[in-house]
Amino acid sequence: MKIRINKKLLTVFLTFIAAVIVAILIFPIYVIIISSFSPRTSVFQPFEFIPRETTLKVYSDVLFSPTSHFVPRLVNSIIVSLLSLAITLILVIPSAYAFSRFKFAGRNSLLYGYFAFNQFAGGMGLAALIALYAILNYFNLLNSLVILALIYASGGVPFNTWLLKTYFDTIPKDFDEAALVDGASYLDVMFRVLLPIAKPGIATVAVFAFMGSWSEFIIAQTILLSDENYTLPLELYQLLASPATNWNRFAATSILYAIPIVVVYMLAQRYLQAGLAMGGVKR
Amino acid sequence: MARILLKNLTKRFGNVIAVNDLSLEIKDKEFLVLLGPSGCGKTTVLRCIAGLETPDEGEIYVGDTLVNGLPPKERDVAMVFQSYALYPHMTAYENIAFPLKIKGLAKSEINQRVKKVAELLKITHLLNRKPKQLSGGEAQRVALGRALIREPKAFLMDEPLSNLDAKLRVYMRAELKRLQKDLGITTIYVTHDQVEAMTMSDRVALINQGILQQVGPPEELYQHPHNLFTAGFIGSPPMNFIDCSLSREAGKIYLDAGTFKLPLENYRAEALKERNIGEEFVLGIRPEDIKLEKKEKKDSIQGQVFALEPLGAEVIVDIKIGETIFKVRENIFFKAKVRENIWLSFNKNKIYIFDKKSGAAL
Repeated sequence: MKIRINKKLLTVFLTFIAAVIVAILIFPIYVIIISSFSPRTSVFQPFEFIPRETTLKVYSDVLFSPTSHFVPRLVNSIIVSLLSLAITLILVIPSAYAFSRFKFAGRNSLLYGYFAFNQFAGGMGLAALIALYAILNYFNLLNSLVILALIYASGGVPFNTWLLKTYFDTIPKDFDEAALVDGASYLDVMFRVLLPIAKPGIATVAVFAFMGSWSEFIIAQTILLSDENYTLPLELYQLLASPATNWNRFAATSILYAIPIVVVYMLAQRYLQAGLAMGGVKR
Repeated sequence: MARILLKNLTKRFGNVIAVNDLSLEIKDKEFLVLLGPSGCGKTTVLRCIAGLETPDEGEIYVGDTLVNGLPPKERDVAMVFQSYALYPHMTAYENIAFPLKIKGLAKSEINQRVKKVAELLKITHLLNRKPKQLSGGEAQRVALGRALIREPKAFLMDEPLSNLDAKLRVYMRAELKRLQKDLGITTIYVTHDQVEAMTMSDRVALINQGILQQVGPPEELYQHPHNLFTAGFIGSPPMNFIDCSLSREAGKIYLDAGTFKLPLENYRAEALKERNIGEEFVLGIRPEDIKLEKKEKKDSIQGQVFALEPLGAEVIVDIKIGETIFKVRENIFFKAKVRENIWLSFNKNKIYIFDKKSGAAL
C-alpha cells in the first residue's frame, strides 16, 4: 500500500517537472506568437502575458507592404528547397536501390565512404565552407540559387542514401523476384514495385531534404551575395540585425516561415501511416 | 506448354555445393515434384530455372530454347512464391493484371483475361481487395492467378501450400492438382512434405544435399527405393531400419541384427551369396509389412510394446527390440498394453536390404 502511494506521488512529481520543462520550452514560441499579433513594436517593455490588443496588421504588412521582402525571399526559399528536394530524390532513389539490391565493384567502399562522410562532414564545417567559397568564387558560381540547391542536396546524399537503402533492405526480395519473373525489367521493379512500397522511406528522405534546405543559414549567408537572392533564414537574420529591431514583424515572419515545415510534417505523416499499414509478404 | 530439360546443373554458394550435377527432364504437361529436406537445393534448382540464380555449370532448356543467358522475363515461366509476394500497394486485380500490364497489353484485353482467371479460381469477389485484406488461402489464389494469367510455358511453385493451415492445405492439394491437369501446364513443384509429393505428383524427384537421389512415379519411390535416403524419406511413419551383419549357418544365409536373426530366401539370399560373412547391411521394413502376434511363431521376433499411437482408423504400435524401436501399422482394433511381450513377423517379400557403406539398395 505504502509503495503504491509513493508511486502516485512520484508520478505527480514527475508530471509536474515535465510540465515545467515543457512550459520553459514553449515560452519563447508563445512570446513569438503573441507578439506577431500585437500592435506594439516592443514585446518586453512591459511584457504582457495576455495581450490587451490584437491585430492582423503585422501579418498584412509582412505579406503585402512594399517595404517587406517576405514574398520574394519566400519565392527564393521555395525554389532552393524544391530544387534541392528534386535533386536529392533523383540521386538518392536509384543509388539506394542499387546499394540495396545489387553487388557491384566498389559497393562497400562507397557505402563506407558515405558513412565516413556523415561522421566527419560536420567537423570539417568551417574549413569546408571556406574551400567551397574559394572554389565557387574561382568558377564564378557564387550568388546562385541553383548552386545553393545543389550544395544542399549533395550534402544530404550520403545520409539520405543510407537511410533509403536501409529502408529498401527491409522490403523482401520476393517482390523484386516475383516482378522479374512476371516480366518486369529492373527499372519496372524500381518504379512499379519498390517505389510504391518504399513511399514511407522516400517521404522521410523528402522531409529531411526539404527541411535541411529550408532552414539552412550559414552556407546561404556565405554564397548568396545580393539581397534579391536571399532566402528566408537570411531575411530573418536581417530583421534581427537592423538597428531598431521590429520585433512583431520578426515574429510574424518567423511564424510564416515555420508554416511550411508544419505542413510538410503533416503530409509526410499521412504517408508514413499508410506505409505502416501495408503488408503483402506473409512472414 | 513445354518440357523442361536440366543438363548437369551445378550451383555453388561459396564452398557449399547447393546443386550437384543434376540432370532431369520434366515432360510436357507433367506435374513434377522436387522433394527433399530443407536446404537440399531444391529451391535453388527452381530459381535457376526461373532465372533468379545463375548456375555455375550445366544447361537449362525451356521447350527447345537454351535459357541459360536469358533474363527471367524472357524465359516465359511463371513462379508462385512461398510468401506469395503479392504487391502490397496493388489490389488483387492489379496484382493479377501486372504481368500483362508490363507486357503493354490493351486495357480491354487485360480486363477480359483477369475476369476469366478470377472466375476459374473463384476469386471474382476479391478483386478489389488489397493483399492485407486477404486470408492465406485467398492470397494463395491471387498469387496463382498472377501466374496463370500469362499462360506461361511452365509453372514453378516454391512450397506454395506451406503457409496455409492444415485443413486448407489438404483442400488446396487436390484443387491444385486438378487445375494443373485441366490446364495441362508443365509444373515443377518444390516441397519438403513427402505427403504433398506423393499425393500431387506425376513423378517425384528426390534430392538430398544437392544430389538427385531418385526420380520416378511416387509409388515407385515408395515400393522400390534405390537407396537408404529414399527409403527413409518416403513414407510416414518412415521405414524401420536396423543394422545387421551377414552370417551363414548350415548353408543358409542370415542377417544378424544382434537381437534377432533373419533367414533370407530366394533372390535376396542369391544377391548376398557372394558377400563375406560379417559384412554390414541395413535391413529395412515398412510399418505395414510387419504383423504383430501375441504368441511366438516360426521366425517371429520377440519385442516389447513401447507405446501406442492411435490415429483414428489405425494405430501405430511402437515395439522395442533391444535398443531399437520398430513402428508397426496396425488396425485400430489391435489392443495391447505397454510393456507387454509381443512377436513380430516380417513380410519376407517386403524387406529391403541396403549396403551400409554405400546406402544402395540390393
